[in-house]
Amino acid sequence: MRIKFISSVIILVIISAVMISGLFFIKSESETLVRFIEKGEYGEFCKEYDKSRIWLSFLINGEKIALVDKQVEKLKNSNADSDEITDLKAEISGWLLSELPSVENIF
Amino acid sequence: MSIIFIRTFIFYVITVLSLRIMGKRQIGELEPTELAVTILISELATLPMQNIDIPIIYAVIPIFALVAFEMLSSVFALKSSVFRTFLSGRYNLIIEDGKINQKEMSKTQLTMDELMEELRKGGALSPEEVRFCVLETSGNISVLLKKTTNVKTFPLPLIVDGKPVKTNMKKLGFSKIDMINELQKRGISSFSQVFWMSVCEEDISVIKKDEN
Repeated sequence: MRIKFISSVIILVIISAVMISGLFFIKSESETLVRFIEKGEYGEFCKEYDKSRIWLSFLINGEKIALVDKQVEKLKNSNADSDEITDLKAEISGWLLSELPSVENIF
Repeated sequence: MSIIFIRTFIFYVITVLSLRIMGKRQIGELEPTELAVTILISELATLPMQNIDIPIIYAVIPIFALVAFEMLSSVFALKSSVFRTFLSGRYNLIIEDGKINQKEMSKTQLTMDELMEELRKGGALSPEEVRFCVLETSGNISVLLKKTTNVKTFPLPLIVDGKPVKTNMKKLGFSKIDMINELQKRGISSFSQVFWMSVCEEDISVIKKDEN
């Protein structure tokens, strides 16, 4: 019984650690990406996004990633207009908010 | 992810509660918590399989969370009889010494046709042939025939895992002093040393707790 209790607590601790580190990763990554957009460093933005995309795809819904992918592709080809860049910034800023355990998100 | 974790906990509680409300006969072989976990895990596993937009971790976290909840609830159920009753309910004595308890039947939503079917499975053609018919917490029905047992009253536990069962004490007219006297005859000084104590007609059986 003690083993069962300890293992269930260990599972919950691991889950909590994964969730918290995931949230911190999304927070720091979105902040970095938004900073690059604000500075107008789109090349650096694309490089950073490509680097972290695989990890983000583990943590964020595929539809949201696909949306950003499309915009990043346009940025790479220099086809993005200012409205699209604003949308991209809003989308990335919204990642953390959509993952935070708020009452609105849960229910 | 944390949203999914909290939602998993909410749905776990809701599923267990709804299974408890539905009653024992819908459950079958599994305990309500086990069935809830089985239903939820099977659903969780299929979602990311079908929809590639859902990250695998969205299923992995709730599945492990459910496993942890299930393990924790089984530990608490072992420790607390109140929690155990809340999760699994109690057995229902449907027939005692050939007499049908109609109140218990309506409480468990058991029809006469279903009862007769279970009695036939147990080897009885009428309720008069049955000594005890019990609807167990798992949803199964146990039938004990008069010809196989001479015991006329249903055996009831007085102490379970060191804790006295007050409702049964009242039913059987046992006071704490009576029980302590019985235990002292067997060289036991306190309730906490007793793993199981039950009364069946005149016989009192006591199982002592292991030392470690």
